Amino acid sequence: MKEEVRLMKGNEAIAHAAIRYGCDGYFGYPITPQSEVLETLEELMPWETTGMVVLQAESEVAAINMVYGGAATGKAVMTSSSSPGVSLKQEGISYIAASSLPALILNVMRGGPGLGTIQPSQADYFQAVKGGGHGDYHLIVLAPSTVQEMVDFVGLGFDLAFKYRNPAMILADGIVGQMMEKVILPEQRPRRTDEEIRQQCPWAVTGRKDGRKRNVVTSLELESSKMEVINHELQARYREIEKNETRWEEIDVENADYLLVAFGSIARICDKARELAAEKGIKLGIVRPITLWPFPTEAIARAAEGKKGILCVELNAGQMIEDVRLAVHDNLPVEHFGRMGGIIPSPDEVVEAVEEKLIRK
Amino acid sequence: MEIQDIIRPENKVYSKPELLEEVHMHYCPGCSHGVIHKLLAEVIAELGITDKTVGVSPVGCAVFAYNYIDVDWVEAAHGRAPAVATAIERLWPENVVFTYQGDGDMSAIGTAESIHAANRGENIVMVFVNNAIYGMTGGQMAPTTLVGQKTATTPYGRRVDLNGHPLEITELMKVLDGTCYVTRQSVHTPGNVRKTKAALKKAFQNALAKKGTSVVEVVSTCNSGWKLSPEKSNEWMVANMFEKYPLGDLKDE
Amino acid sequence: MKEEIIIAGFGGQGVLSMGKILAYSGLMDDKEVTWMPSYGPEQRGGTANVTVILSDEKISSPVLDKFDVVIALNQQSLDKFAPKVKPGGILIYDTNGIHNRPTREDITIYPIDAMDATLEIGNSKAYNMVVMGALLEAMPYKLPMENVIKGLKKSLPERHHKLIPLNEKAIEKGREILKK
Repeated sequence: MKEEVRLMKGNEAIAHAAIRYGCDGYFGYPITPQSEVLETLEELMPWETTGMVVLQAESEVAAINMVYGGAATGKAVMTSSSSPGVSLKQEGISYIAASSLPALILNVMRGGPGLGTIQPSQADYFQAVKGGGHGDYHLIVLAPSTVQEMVDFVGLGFDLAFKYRNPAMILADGIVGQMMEKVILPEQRPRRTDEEIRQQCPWAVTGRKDGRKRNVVTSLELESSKMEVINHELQARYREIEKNETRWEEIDVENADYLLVAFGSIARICDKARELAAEKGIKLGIVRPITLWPFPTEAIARAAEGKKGILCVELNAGQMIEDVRLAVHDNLPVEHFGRMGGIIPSPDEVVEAVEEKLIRK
Repeated sequence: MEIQDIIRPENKVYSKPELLEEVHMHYCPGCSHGVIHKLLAEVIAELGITDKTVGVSPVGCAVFAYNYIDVDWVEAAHGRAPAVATAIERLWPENVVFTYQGDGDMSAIGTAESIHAANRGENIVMVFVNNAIYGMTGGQMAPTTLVGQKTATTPYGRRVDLNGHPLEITELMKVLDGTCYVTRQSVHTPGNVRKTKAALKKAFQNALAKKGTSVVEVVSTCNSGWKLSPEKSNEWMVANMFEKYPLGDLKDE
Repeated sequence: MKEEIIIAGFGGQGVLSMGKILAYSGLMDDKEVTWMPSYGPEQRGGTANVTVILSDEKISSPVLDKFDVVIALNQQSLDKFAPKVKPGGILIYDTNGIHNRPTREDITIYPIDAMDATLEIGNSKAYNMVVMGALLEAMPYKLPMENVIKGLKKSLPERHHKLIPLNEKAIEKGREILKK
């Protein structure tokens, strides 16, 4: 398949991107608002073309454990779900991280807590970034703001996951999952052959061919001294990822008096708010973290220099704001503006919040 | 006659299977796991599939099964072995994948994964070790614990009104269209050991032939959990377990 | 060029699919496009609206307060979105079932009788394309018809391609009723 320009929903784009980036297996369970991922894959029947395996599992729990099994064999595998379903996956995600396996998880967030609503939300920031499962681990968390980024981050997510042998998560919201945009689908990347996988992933459980020693994928180590060593190795890798892979976008930061910090599609609402504020003579700049972990701490600290205040705009009660405050050490006022329960703030509301929380204060 | 005259190849009557690792097993003396591991090691070697066998170990006493049999292994979360095995087999269909599950893994926390993998007819072998108790965590009730059986969480004996009925998960496996072979065996006598080995071999051959899911239950003892000597455990098993869990093939297609 | 458009009505009126055809037509005309739906849990009968943005530049927010063009297909939508037309912008509404007419004087208002026009064509499913014709005629951005046809082809499944001439006719009808 050649590069192609299409109009599609973020969820559909994920399915197309998975196939085109040479994903070997997708395992999922339907939940609104991301069921189009599995539906689109079933419609495209990639097992007939690239040989990709697609399976509707009996639960989110089964799906993430299929991902664990598939990842253990060195294949590029993924799952997708939405907030309640991603909560169910947390144990499996912890196992995948602990076993140093590459995998890709998509969360198209909806409003919670509990069964909540099916409308967009960003309330799973803590869960994704601080480690929603048990133990000290990190996911590489990518936050797409456009349908194009949904596509691109499938490729980037797999690349980073394999580079660091660490699970990556695309933390999207219902907006970017459900909206349609122009998108450029990449040229088909061939799936790796079994021989290539054996060479590139010598740790993988592929059957101990050619007299090699057996491979065991496990997260169990009952000896505390050894388990601490494993933890240190994981932490060293996380420091490496922090050093190399922090990504963010800045808009008009230099000329701004105030900063908006927002991720995902909300950063685009902030961009519109920036235009509207400019008409009122309010100079706003935007920092959009693209990787939520590793978090662009230094970039935000630099951007904040000489500014009068920061507004964190999130579809939650104030989660990322904690990381922003840590980044700027109370050197300037950092306020939060968010809507919850599936309500999306309009650009006007964001401008009003800037006026109320930062300027008039 | 000197002992050196006796130790000769032509006099050899038994040797450790080549795929069993040279390590001490952590299992209690008298536990059935050791025998079942040995049989698996023999069957895999005899079928010549060492280089394409992948085992999935459970949470429970057999969590360390990967330390003992010299093939590739994945250690699954509690109850999830069939889901893990599903993906491994589908992504590497030329490999032979088996799960090794206890009664907690198969019939409590992992019931959904076990039933659904079997119902999809995944081309895997599910080895189910049923000793009617949770050994690793200190002898608590399992779904397969017999009525009246004392465990750490049923200190006065299992009561149907409080704890429900013993779960016949293997009978459930039988009625699923995805299973091709469902059998219940034991390893308490040499004759039963031979039958279990034959059952395991058939199950692995089914997986090679992509015939669907094979389930081999091995009714087993847990002398530590049952607080009986190994010998008394065997007697108790014969006297009590086989009535509820009768041996033999439930399905062979 | 940038057109920020919202189409609002009942679910089942073809609101979302009209938005999709419009977005695809813009894409065929080399524009950046965004299609952002908002609807209740009902498949049919509830309210539905879709924001479509067509632009030469990269599009920022898919969620908007004010629109260049509002299309309202029932009273509820008219009440909600008429105040959200930018000064100098365009409001198109279907007069069918409307009892409170919009009164703003700083915008251009086109009442259309799309339901009657659709009945004249003889296929009620073409309703949304009649509305689309009115929009194409009213919008300052002139989307070439050839790209609209391409957009139709892209957004309709192959088995419905035989309906394209009917859709074309409906679009022409929509253009005519707007001109009146």
